[in-house]
Amino acid sequence: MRLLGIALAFMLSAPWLAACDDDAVSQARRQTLIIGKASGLSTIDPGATVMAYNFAPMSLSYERLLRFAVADGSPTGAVEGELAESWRLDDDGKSWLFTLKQNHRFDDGSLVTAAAVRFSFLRTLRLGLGPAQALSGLEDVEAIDARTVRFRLAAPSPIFPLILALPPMVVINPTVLAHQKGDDLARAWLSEHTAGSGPYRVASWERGQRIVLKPNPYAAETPRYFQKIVLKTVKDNASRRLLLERGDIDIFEGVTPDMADKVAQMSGVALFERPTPVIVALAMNTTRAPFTDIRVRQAISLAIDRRAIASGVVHGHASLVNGVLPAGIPGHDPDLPEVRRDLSAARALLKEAGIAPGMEFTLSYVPASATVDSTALAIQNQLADAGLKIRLETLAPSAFAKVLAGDFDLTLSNWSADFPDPWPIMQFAYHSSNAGEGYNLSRYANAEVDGLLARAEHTMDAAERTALYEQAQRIVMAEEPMVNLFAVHGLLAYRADVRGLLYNAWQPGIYNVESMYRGDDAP
Amino acid sequence: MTVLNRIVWRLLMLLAVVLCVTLITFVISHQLPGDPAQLMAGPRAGPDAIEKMRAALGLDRPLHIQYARYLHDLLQGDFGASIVTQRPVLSELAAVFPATLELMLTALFISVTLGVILGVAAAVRHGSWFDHFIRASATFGISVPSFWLGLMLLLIFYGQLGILPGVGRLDDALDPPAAMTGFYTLDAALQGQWAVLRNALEHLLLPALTLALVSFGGMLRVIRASMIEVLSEDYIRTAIASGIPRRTVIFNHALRNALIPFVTVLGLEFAALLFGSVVVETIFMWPGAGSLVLEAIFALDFPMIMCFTVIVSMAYVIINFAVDLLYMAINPQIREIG
Repeated sequence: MRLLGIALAFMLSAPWLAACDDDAVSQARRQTLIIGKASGLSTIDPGATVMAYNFAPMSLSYERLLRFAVADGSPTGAVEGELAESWRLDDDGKSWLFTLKQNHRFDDGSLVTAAAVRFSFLRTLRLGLGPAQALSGLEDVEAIDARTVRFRLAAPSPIFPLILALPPMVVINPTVLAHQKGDDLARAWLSEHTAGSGPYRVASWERGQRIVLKPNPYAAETPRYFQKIVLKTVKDNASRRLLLERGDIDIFEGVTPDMADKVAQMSGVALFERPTPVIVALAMNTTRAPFTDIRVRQAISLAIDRRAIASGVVHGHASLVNGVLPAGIPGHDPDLPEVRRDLSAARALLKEAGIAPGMEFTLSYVPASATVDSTALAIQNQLADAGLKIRLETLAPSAFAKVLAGDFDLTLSNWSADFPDPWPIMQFAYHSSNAGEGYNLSRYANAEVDGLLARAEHTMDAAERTALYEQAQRIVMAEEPMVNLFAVHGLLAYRADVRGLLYNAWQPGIYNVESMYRGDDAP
Repeated sequence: MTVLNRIVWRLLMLLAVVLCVTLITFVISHQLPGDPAQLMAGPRAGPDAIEKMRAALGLDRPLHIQYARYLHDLLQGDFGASIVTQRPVLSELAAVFPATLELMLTALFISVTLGVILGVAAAVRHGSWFDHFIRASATFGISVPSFWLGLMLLLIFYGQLGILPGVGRLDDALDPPAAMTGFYTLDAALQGQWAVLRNALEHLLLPALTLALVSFGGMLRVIRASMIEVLSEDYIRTAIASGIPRRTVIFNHALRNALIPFVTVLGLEFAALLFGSVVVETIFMWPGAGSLVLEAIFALDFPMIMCFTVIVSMAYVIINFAVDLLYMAINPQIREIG
């Protein structure tokens, strides 16, 4: 018993006496970048996810053929080579030829080859999950020699280089097949491990807690300063804010509009705020009466006070949207009139459509944040002024499947474009082939719009293409399957001693950690 | 009832409880809204990919067939594979269990120490202001919800005073010690990593204290009541009257007898900490079984939810069973009357 007491006393006192390790711990902390994430990651298999919150470890551990050029927090619309040294459209007008840079190596030391590029893209297509949808026009990938690869498309595609710059379009080391189970193409293994040529690689993952990345010893671009990256899941906003304030995280993702001003005033903290193409919209089920009637949809649009929501709910950290396409995307027309609230016109349209005052509808949504809840409440109040009774139905994320299946009246949706092109928004939000699970939530179907989108998708002439999208936009605006409420601003808080951060508000959660450093420690 | 009959009866009860728990959990978890196949396939996955996923997960079969298959596998010790990670759920749970066990044992150590010392002190000073104060503290401990207490401790010691770390098992800049026991404190001590040990102990303090403060009240009340009863026994009065030092009488004679009912409370508290840890682990972002099961609930990871529930239920029954056996061993009256 006495021995146990001595052992316990030694165990408890030794660490406090051993203060000599403090400098090493402090140095380790300085060279560790800790990113506080608002949600846990589900998978980091590039072939299996299109969710932005999963992208951070992928973007640090893998390389793409191309990446977006970014200036002042937004993509310029141009691409630059990451693994690709050069690229060109082939003579047939629908194939793209890429030449790889030399000496890019995977984290096991093997070279990145054209065969690895072929393997990665065919794997994505075979899995048939989210990322495959963006490659739907891809017919084959051919490794011509060790450094040359040809992508053969079914039809000309002007946005193909932009698609290749999307975060899931990475090159994976084909040796991952050693971890294949059944015919899963190593999906189980890649959901928690990485096999890329990026500056870092995943060292460990405690699910729902944190992912640790350490430098890839064979990377072409070695990290400038940070030797360890921790992606730490802190779901509670207040906790994340506290950790930032105490310096226990360096980057605070998911700053909500209601806390942005307070965070900006915190000592030793800086805040980025940039416009984004993320549109929050009220989608109406165009296949369910009475939302099949354009007059009802127009009435709801006229009953909603977008300015009040942008200033009251989002505290001014948002821009109004005057059309379908947000600013920064070709086809966006700044001269389009803003839709202003007109209650008498809304009531008249409802009466004309035979909607009796007090008729009840349900707004189904996932209360992902306080902002979403407040937006739903504001819509409920504003539509009550027009005589409509709105019941709010909150759904667990897993229960959102009922909305995707079309079992809803009204829902709230988030829309975004990863790059400055009309295609992502117009194709996924308004093409009939994407109704429901393809994320055309309002299940909007218009043959003329479908035709215009199909033509625009394959038109190589930029001006002609933009004109087609503008035409489709006008039809969609007249039929109003969705009420675009506002475009959110990207908000990112970080410790002010973190330097060199190039924030891309269009792709939050992706960082240039390899070129970042802390304070005056720049090597 | 003989001791053997009692043991056999308890084992049968264990089987019945596990069967009921699996049935109830299975039905409830499969009735939750949502489609795990859709979740796993992710947004924008094609219908073919979702159907393939559903078939691979066995979710395309009727519910009773799924349950029968689950029981069949369970009898062979196979709890199934996680829908999210595709790895065996038992090994997933085993990987995080040392974190939970380290937290539970530390909390239990603190609460037993507090409960016994304060319980005995209150009983000895029965009726004094000290006794009233201790009883009020115990009532506070029993009444206060662990999530509130945890948040308060976090705000005070981490947020305001900044003298203790906030969340996790270790500072993010530090690498965990090589796994020997899975307990960071023990592994760091065994490997002489003092900075890691200090950091791990600091991280352990607030969550363990939260769990301990909400559980020590019950123990304290049992010890106090039991001690008051024992201290009024004739043999104690005789011992004191015969000149044996009061301290010896209290600790060598009275406390030993007062500990008998305490064994039952200890067993129940240990089992309760298994459940209690879910809330506290979440607040302090402790990467243990509680956090894991919460993630599993959000992801509709049925096999993981089932595995955790079955194991915790079995632990409850087994601990109660062990307490009964211990009770029989230390209290001959029960053995004889049975």
